[in-house]
Formats: sequence, structure tokens, C-alpha cells
Amino acid sequence: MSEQTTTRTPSTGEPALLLRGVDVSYSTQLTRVPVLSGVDLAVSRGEFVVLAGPSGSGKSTLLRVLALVARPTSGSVQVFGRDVTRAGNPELRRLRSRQVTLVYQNPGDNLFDYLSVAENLRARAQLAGRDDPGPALLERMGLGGTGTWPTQALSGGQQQRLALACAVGAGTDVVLADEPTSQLDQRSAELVVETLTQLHELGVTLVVASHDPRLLGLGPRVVRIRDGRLHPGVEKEGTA
Amino acid sequence: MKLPWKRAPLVAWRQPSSLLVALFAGLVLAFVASAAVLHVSSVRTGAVDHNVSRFCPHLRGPAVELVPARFDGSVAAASMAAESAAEHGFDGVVTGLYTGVLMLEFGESAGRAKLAYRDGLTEQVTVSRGGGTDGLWIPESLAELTGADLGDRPRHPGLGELPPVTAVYQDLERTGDGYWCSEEKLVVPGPMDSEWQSAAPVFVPDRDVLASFQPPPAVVDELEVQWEDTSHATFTTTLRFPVDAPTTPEEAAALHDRSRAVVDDLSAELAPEAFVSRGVYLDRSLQLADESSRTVTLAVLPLTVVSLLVGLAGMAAVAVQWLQRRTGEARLLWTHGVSPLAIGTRALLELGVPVLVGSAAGLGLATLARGLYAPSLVLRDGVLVDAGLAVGVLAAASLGVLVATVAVRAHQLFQAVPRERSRAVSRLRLVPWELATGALAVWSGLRLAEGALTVESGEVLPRVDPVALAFPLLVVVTIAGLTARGLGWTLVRSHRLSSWRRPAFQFGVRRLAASGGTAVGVTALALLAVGVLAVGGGVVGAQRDAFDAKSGVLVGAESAVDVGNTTVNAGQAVPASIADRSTLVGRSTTSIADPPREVTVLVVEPDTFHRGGWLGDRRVASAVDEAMSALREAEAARGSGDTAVPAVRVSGAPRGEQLRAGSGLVLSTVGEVAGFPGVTSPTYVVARDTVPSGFRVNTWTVLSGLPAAEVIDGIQAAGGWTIQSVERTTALDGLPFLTMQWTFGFITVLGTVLAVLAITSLLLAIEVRRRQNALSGALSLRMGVRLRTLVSSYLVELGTIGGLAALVGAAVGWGAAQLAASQLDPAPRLVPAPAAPVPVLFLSVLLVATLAVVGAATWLAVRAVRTARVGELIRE
Repeated sequence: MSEQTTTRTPSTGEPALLLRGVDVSYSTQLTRVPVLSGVDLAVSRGEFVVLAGPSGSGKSTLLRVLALVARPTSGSVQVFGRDVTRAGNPELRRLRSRQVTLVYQNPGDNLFDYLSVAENLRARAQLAGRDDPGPALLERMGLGGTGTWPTQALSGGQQQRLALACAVGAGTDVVLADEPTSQLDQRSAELVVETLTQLHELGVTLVVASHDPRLLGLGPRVVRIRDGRLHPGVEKEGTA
Repeated sequence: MKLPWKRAPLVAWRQPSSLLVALFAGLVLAFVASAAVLHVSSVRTGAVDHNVSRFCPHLRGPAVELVPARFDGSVAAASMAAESAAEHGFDGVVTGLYTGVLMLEFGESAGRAKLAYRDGLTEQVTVSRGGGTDGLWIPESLAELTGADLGDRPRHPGLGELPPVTAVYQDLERTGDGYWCSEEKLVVPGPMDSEWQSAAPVFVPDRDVLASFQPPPAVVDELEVQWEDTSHATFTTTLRFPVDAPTTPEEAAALHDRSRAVVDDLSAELAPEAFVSRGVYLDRSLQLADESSRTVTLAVLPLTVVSLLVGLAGMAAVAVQWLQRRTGEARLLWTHGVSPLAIGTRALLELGVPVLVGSAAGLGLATLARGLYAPSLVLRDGVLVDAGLAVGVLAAASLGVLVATVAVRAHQLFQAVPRERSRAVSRLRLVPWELATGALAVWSGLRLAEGALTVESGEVLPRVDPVALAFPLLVVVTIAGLTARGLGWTLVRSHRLSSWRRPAFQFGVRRLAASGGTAVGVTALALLAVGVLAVGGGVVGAQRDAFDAKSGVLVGAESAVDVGNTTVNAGQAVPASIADRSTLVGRSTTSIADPPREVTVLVVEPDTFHRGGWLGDRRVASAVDEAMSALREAEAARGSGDTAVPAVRVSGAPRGEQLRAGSGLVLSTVGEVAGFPGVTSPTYVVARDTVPSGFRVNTWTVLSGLPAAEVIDGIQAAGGWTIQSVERTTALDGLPFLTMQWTFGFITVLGTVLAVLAITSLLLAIEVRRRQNALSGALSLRMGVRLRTLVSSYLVELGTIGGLAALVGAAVGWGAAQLAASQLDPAPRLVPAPAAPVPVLFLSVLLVATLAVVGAATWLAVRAVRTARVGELIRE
């Protein structure tokens, strides 16, 4: 793997992601609906955190706040020690292009369907202002020989793998994945789990929302969320 | 350039429907813009064409007439004119020489005539007998009066014996657009002229023979005390410059400049007193063309701007549709740090080329199709460049709208912080903006009632109030808005409707309510389109009918041919060959004593008037029936000692039972009508057989439904002779009516464009919701709803939109046109006032089109249901 892809934001001791007292609520015609209430969460650099909770618990919303694609109604959000709660859209975009990547549940939503595998990698690197990582990254991520393939020719697992490879190629420090294995068959899901492990070994900070027991068992830290609140006593839990 | 942007133009081909929609949107916008430019430009050409076509062919260039002068002076002037003509690019000059009216003696008889010469005259008269060019050519009327024939030599006190008669020719009639047109006053006796003002010419084919008529100067001096006796010694000279009719305003302007140069040359050579008249008729034509163009531009500009704005809104809809289809990619780009504006440029790269291609196609279509809407097919220099520039600006605006809409929508979708709408804004949404257009419509209507067209005395084109002209369109826009608002309000509350005994109706209404925004938008657009079409068609029809009716009233028939007393007395005025479509009327101007004023007495034959008189307008025909019935009844009730002649008064003639007119005529009014064919001033219509024998009719006229030429041929074949004639189609200047037709004709084009947009929007809306409709329809069928019910529900849904738009649009449009048409009267002194005709054809086409569109849309929707694969749709 090239030096470029391993270059990460230098460590200064602060957590990669820090939420304090975060509330998120949405307005309807009749009332205001709380989704997250009083969330305090710190994710250290290089940490692998799994967010677990039933459907409607607020996992995806929490992930979206961490991925800087949603703003909290109140509270604060820090990325590598920098308070981005009131940051303007340009700054948030810059962070999302270079430091924080969100991987969607549906594999197809993470790729440009009119570009080949290698072109997707190159496009993501271009958006981050980086050079094309080349076929070496594809080899490393277990996608060797697929460079010229259309993305539709990949399996679901391979597509998610490619999405994660794109994040690596963009030099992302933090990857957030929303149910990355939920739409995949067993073999594909195992591929994704394997890839996430690879990313963790590379030092990428990972936050994954999932029901998948393989992921629950994999992450050294599981954070449980129910009804928009983090489950008390969850912070130091090591195993499911 | 980053890959997603670089690949964008190729990606576009993966969704041909998006390409087509973008291309179509560009085409429509460009068509409207370029059609407006081409139309307004061609109004000038059309106006010049119209005016020049009414000119005599020899009066398109300089028009010069010199005061009576000696022969050598006239010849010298002609020579100067020829030189100037050559210098300024004219092919030559046609010189005419005319003496005053002379009394020529043929033995015991005598008759009045002019001696005349004109270049090329021998090719331009119809010779009845003889044909030698070394003598005199006399008219039939003179030959009949005096008994002169070939070989006879007339005499004149001042000239002595003249050369022999070598030909007899048919009297020249009102000359239409021919060789003699410019000389009409000099060669066709006016029926109202006195004996010494005009007479038929005796032609002298050889100009040099005229030279011999000129007595020595001393004799002229002695004879100057009596103008009748000098008239043989001097010649009125006409100098005409034949030239092809200009086909464009630029050619007309160039011709005008050359003509002005010739007139200036002659003015420099000759003293001002030498001229009877000198000028360039094109002056006025160019002025009228400019006025016409200005009027049409002001009138069509507001709706053109509205149409362009609707088109740009359509472009915004294309952008929204693109974002809907590409939400996944847009979201991915945004997630990876791409700004909404950059996402907008992504859309531009994908759809920009189709928009530009469509724009070029729109310009091409507007150019090729101008025969359908433009007053003239001739393109002036540079107009395509102008149209291209307009299209270019609009294309740039379209692309700007595309980018901006995608950027704003992407911002709203992905990154805007939801804010509660302020109460003030919420309240503002409740205020109907239609109040504004309604207020404008009221203001415009008040100005219309005061007079949208102001006809100044002596002016050809009326002054137009553009605010008043906008009245019918403002009414349509207001009603479209109110109808859409009412529909929206109804749909919001339609959830209370429970009509499950009629499931088709219930489904249809619920689906309408579910897509309320689209339904309201399409209904408003369709209603606007139908209303604009009805307004345009109504006013154009009203103007066309008004021109026909007013010219019919002015002339009295399709053609009117004046005949002499001799012809009438000999029973030759209405021979059998034309009798079934002709009638005879007599006209006299007389004075009545109490109240004292000048009136016209129109003598008609009640039993035959309907054969020839103009009855082309329902109101005029009704007036004629009423008048004839009144005269017949009065005649039947008249006692044998009763001397008062029953008369129907027209056009403000005084009422009375013993009105004493001239020549012993006593009139008794027995009825009144607002108008009558051939009547344009206070007139009494009387029956011929009630008029006392001593009453002198000044002019007899044959009114006919046949062309003038056919009537003249018939009368001459029966041995009679005619004086002058006029055709209905050329009697009244049509330019003011044409200006209104060109204005509202273009509005009809815009209405057609709006209709195409409305139909496309409807079909597009169905296509965009295809998946939802397919899923819900397929599930309904599986749950037991019959296909027939489903089809009926779509007919209810789409029929509501189509039916509402068609019914309300047609009713409002035609009503507004009817209100406006009566005020848009370019010739208010002539009856009848314009009225929008009943739009039978329009309503038929509208019905068929509405049924076709609703049918096609229903078919599309049901087809999606029938071909749906429910499993895949659910999985998606």
C-alpha cells in the first residue's frame, strides 16, 4: 500500500469523534419528534466501535451526526479536537471529502454505476484531492483483476469492499458504515467483515451500526442505543 | 476535470427519456423566443406588402404631376425626369400628357373629352373598332353620344380640324391595379365631377401629333382670359416611374430614398409652382409599417414573456426530475464533500447539450413554420441573427435555471437546516395572488371600455392601448389561478369524501389528492392554454368578420358598378346574365328643410335587393329584412292621394312625416335600422316605385354578388356602358384589421405552445409516477378491484383535469374575447361592431383533443399497471 494511503491525520491525543449532550429532533406538522437525547460519545483514534440497537432506536441518526451529514438540534460535535457544531457547509464538506466517510447500507449507493471499479477508486481519490491509488490498492483489498469491470459485475460484498477501498484510497481517517452487511448473503457479508478488520488494522477509526453478530463479536467496543439514548453502562463493554 | 463530470455527457445517453425531455424543453423555449422575433419582424414586411399592394404600380416610386404647361415645357420636364430616373436606378419614366376638358364637334353633334397621350397607351386599351396609330382613338361613350365613327374628323374652335378617328376603344373603368391606375382621376370621369372637371380621353397615340395642337404663344396669351379655351393649349403632365414592388421593408426604404432623390432633382430643376404634386407614397407606408410593428410588439410582449417564464419553469421541472432520478449519485457526491453548486454543474454537463440542440431545433422549427403564423414569409436581413441572439440568451438562462434549481434542491435535500415557516409567510401563502391579476384585469377592462383603439382623423392605424389589449388574457390568467386554487382547496378536503359505492370515483379523487400539486399545476397550465387559444381565435375571427362586414356595408355588395342614366333607362343596367345576383340602387344627395341638413336618398328595389346587396353579416341581413318589410307594408297601406314617400331612416337621419327634400320629394319615415348596405351617412332608403318621376337620381349603381369584371362584361354585352366600379375586398384598408389579427394570431401560437407544454407535463407526470401507480394498481387488482374499475378511476382522475381545463378555459376565453372584440374596432364609424364568432370548429377540435389526451394518458397509466412485476416493485 502506498505511503499516501497510510497517511492519516496526526495524533494529538484528542478523540477522533466526540459528541457531548447531542439532541436530534425533527418537526412534523403537529409536533416535534425526538430521535436522539443527551448523547455523549467519544470514539478514540483507531478505535472500532459497533453501534447496536433495535430498529428505530436512532442508530442511523447517530451515525449521520458522526458522519457530519446531519446537524444536531443541540449539543456539540468535535472531529479530531475541532468543534464543528457551528461549522459552515464548506468546512463540513471538506471534512467529509478527506477525513470522514459514510458507507451506506445499499452497496450500489456507494459507487458510481457508470464508472468501472478502477475508475470509482480514482474518482473518490480525486474528490479528496489525492492521486489515483492504482491497482495495488485493489489487490490489497482483494479486488485484484477487477479494475476494468463495471461495478454491477461485482457481488454485493465486493461492492462494499470497493466502497471501503475508496475510503482508504481517499485517505479517510474515519469510516462510518450503516448496516454494511444487512443486504448481503453470507459469503459477501464475510468479505465485508474481513475488509473492516483490514481497515481497523490500518488504523482507520471505524464506527459501524449493525445487528450482525459477526460484527458485534468483532468490535472491541459495543455501544447500545435504545429510544435515542445510549444504554447506561455501555462504554467499557468489551464483548456482546 | 473529475471523472463524474467528465463522463456526464455520455451518462446522459443511458436515460434517453431525460435527454428527450431536456431537448423538448429547450426546443419549446427557443421556438417561442425566435417565433416572437420572426413574427414581429415580419409584421413590418407584411404591412409594407399590404400597403404596396394597394398602390398603383406606377406610384411605388416618385409620384410627380405638373401643372398645365405648353407642350415643349412638358416634354422638357419629361426629359429631365428620364435623366434623373436613369441616375437613380429606375428603368425609365412613363410620361402622360392631358389637356383640359374640350368640346369636340362631330358634325352636328358635340361631346366633351380630353386630348391625351401616355407612353405605351396603345397596348393598354381595348379597341372595339379600327386601330391605326396615326389618328385619334375615341371612347365608346363619345362615339355613342355623337354618332362619330372611324374616319370622322372632329373640330375644335381653337385647334381647327383634328386628325381623323382611327380607332374606337372601350371606355376605361375604375382601373384596379393596372396601367391606368395612377391616371385614374385623369382618364375616368368621376360621377360626382362637374361637366368641365373630367371627361373620357381621346387618345393621341403619336405624341408628336400633340405638338401640332399647340397654338403660337401669342394666341395663348389672347385666350388666357377664358380657361376653357386655353385648355387645349396646355398639358397636365404626369411623370411615373415603374418599378417592381419591394418585398421587404429594407427594399422599400431603399426605393423610398431613390424616389426622394428623383423628386429632389426635379424640385431643383423646376420652380415650385410647376408642380401639382410631388412626393413618395412609400413615406406613409414605411411609417404605417413601423406603427404596425410597434403595436403588435407591445401587444404580444406580455404573453410572450409569460410563456417564456412558463418555459423556464418547465426547465426547472426538468432539473427537479433529473435530481429525482439521480438522487443516489447526488447524495453520494454530497457525502464525499461535493457542493450543491457542483452537483448543479454535473446536471449541466449531462443535460446541457440536449438543451442546446433543442434550442437550435426550436430556432429551425420557428423559421420553417413561419408560414403558419407570420404575416410574411420574407425574412429581412439580419432577422435570423436577432432570433439566434434571443435564443442564445434564453439558452444561457435555461442552463442557469438548470444549475440553480439542482443546486438549490440539493441544498434543501441534503444540507439545509429545516426551519419552521414563519406565521407571516404562512399567512402570505393564503393570500390569493389572483387578486393582483384580477385587479389588473379590472383596470385593463376599464381602459378597454374607454377605448382600446383610438382612431384619429386622417390616420390609418388606430392608436392602441396595450394595457387594454391585455384584458382578455388577464381574465384568463385570473380565472386559471382561481380554478387551480379552488381545485387545490377541494383536493385537500377530499379526504372527507367517502364514496366507496363508486370505487372508481373514490380512487380517482384520492389519487388526484395524493398528487395535488401536480394536478393543480397541470390544470392551471392546461386551462391557461385553452383560454389563450379561445381568446386568440375569438379576436382573430371577430376582426376577419368585421373587415368583411364593414367593407360589405361600405360598398353595399361584393362589387358596385356605376352606370349612366341612359343604360338604366334602356333597361340594360341589370341584364339577365347577372340579374339573379344583382340589384340596382340609385343615390342622390339632397337637403331637407326641417331640420336643415344634407342627407342621402337611397333608392332601392325591394324585390331584388337581396340578390345583390351585402347580406354577409347576420345583423346587416336582419336590418335589410326589417327595412324592406317596413317599405312594403308602408307601400301597401299608402293611399292613392298620399304624396309622402315611405322612407326607412338609417345612420341618424332625422325622423318625420313630411320631410321635404329636393326635387319635390316628400319623405315620411316608417322605420329605422342601425345600418344598411352602402350607407355610411344619414340616409333615407326608399322604394324605387314610390319615388315621383320628377326626382333626379344622381348616380345609379349595380350592386352585385359577382366580381366587378363579370358585372361590367354583362352590362356591356347588353349594350350598356359603365362608369366606375369598386370591389368589396379592396374598398376598405385592411391594415388596421390585419394588425389586430397579427397580434392575436401570434397569441394563438403561444396558446398552442402552452397546450403542448400542458399535454407534455401531464404525460410526464404519469411517467414519473409510473412505479408508484404500477405498484398501487397491481396491488389493487390483486385485492379484487376489477380492471374496468381501475380504468374508470384513471378516467375520473385525468378527465377531471382535462374536463375542467377545457370547459372553464373555453368558456372564459370565449367570453373574454367577446367582451374585448366589440371594443377592438379599427373602423368604429362603420357598422357593425366586431363580434367573436361562435367557435364551433375550435370547440370540436378541443373536444377531440381532450378526449385523445385523456385517453392516451389513461392508456399509459393502465399499461404500467398491467405490465408491473409486483415482486420486483416491492423489493425496490
